[in-house]
Amino acid sequence: MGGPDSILPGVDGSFRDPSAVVLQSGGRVFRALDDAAFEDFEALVASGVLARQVSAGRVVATWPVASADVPGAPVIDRRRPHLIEHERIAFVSHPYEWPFSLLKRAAVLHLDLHLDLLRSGFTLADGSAYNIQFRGTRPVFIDIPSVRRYREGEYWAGYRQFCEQFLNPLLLTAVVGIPYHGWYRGTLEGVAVDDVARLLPARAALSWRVLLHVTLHARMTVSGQRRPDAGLPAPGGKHGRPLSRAALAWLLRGMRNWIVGLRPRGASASRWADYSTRTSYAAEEADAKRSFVAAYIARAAPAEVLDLGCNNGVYSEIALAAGAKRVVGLDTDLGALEAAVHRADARSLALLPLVVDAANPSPDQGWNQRERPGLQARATADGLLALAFLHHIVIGRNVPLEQAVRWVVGLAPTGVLEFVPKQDPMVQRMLAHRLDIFPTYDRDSFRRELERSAFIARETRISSSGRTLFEYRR
Amino acid sequence: MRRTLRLASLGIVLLFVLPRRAAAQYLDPGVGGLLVQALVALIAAAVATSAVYWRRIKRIVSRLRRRGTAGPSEHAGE
Repeated sequence: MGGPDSILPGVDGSFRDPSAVVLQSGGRVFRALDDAAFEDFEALVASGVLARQVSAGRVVATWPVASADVPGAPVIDRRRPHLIEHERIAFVSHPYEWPFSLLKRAAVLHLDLHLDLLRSGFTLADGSAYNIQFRGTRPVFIDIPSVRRYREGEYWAGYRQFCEQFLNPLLLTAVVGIPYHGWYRGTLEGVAVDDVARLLPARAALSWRVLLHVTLHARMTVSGQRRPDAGLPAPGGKHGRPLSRAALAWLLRGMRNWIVGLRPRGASASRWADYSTRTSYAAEEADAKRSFVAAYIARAAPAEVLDLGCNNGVYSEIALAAGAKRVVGLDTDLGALEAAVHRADARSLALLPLVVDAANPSPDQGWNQRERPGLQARATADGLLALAFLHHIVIGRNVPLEQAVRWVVGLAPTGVLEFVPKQDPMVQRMLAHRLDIFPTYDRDSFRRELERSAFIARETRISSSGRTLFEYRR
Repeated sequence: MRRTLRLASLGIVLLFVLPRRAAAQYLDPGVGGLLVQALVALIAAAVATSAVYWRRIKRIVSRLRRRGTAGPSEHAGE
């Protein structure tokens, strides 16, 4: 990337579409477009569709800029001489980190946007879930150059990709009851249609939607791959049957209505309620925790807080109420994360709950191991909450205490850590069926390890069992 | 399956015929994805064609009905 003509290299994840490459400079996000891509962009602006979608919050704000307005005034790349600027998304997340309801709403946004574009004479070139990002729990489409002028009769090149990156993972959870996150993270391209077809129960094919988008789609994919010459006629051969605009809209609408009705298998709305009451500590302890967190936020005034083990987002909400601009919450409990999404929706919180295992966080991966940056490469938080969290990786996953503390403190310059002692019923439950191989797991060791990496600004014991909160500054 | 493939292959030509950026997709649409859409195109065309015939049949039936209801009223007038 970045030939002799360009000064700014493209960002690592932006190489698939050479007609529009993402650049970053001075903390701002730009795209360099070739002539054809810029013509499409100008048509989109002229149609008024872009302004409408931006003001509805569905599409990221985008405007043309001159090279002189870009920090460092880069030399114009002759292949891609036009520059546009995008509003910056605070935290970039990947589809394999989204809880079910967020992947679902990203899919619905993609289809709604496509339908609206189609009515105005545009279409989407692809069906990539990576083209959606989140502001809180609200999805936003970021890949403006994948909007192209629609040609009557054309097929949607992104249909297969949409199925792999949105529909199939959702079906895996909604129909088979398997969370898609590990699989999706493994492949990066989502779940292949022939894989999902093999997993769906035979009765699922009684639905015409499954029959069309999964069963037939998989059969046709497999037979097309087996006989590569039979399926694809040479250009200029017999005339094909055009896919009318109405038929394409029908296809998109059908998928939209289907996806809207999907629910994680085995989960119910009542499960959310459990999380608000499932606490292992008394009310006064919770009060002490709340006021400690609020005081920390008021003092440190972080813009972005990373909430490790965010559960249903109760302390994320307290951090936001105390002045944090946004919170990225991480947990592995899918039910708790759905509760956090529900909380963020109900109270319009700038909280993004993500499925991330702290003992195995999203790695740097994809092409050159740089295409999809891992959690640490993206973590720009200046505040941190790790409440009732560390014992899960120290006792639960055998991570040495000193490493666990160092890792957590390394994620943000200030934060609050909670130490949960061995006498606590939560830890007792974790040790009930296993050998206690943690002779040095106690508050003094915890404090000592923390002092090695940071300055302890405040320490408060909040429960009779000995739970203690520490506020640190690096 | 061979027939479906042949049928669907008709639609694929279009991707090559389409002008400018649409013709130069950077993304491989996948054979299966194209064939599904070719099938939808075929069904949509069949529905559109049958709608035309259905309208014709309806017109003929209503014309016959009108003739049928007009008959007795003429007799009533006599």
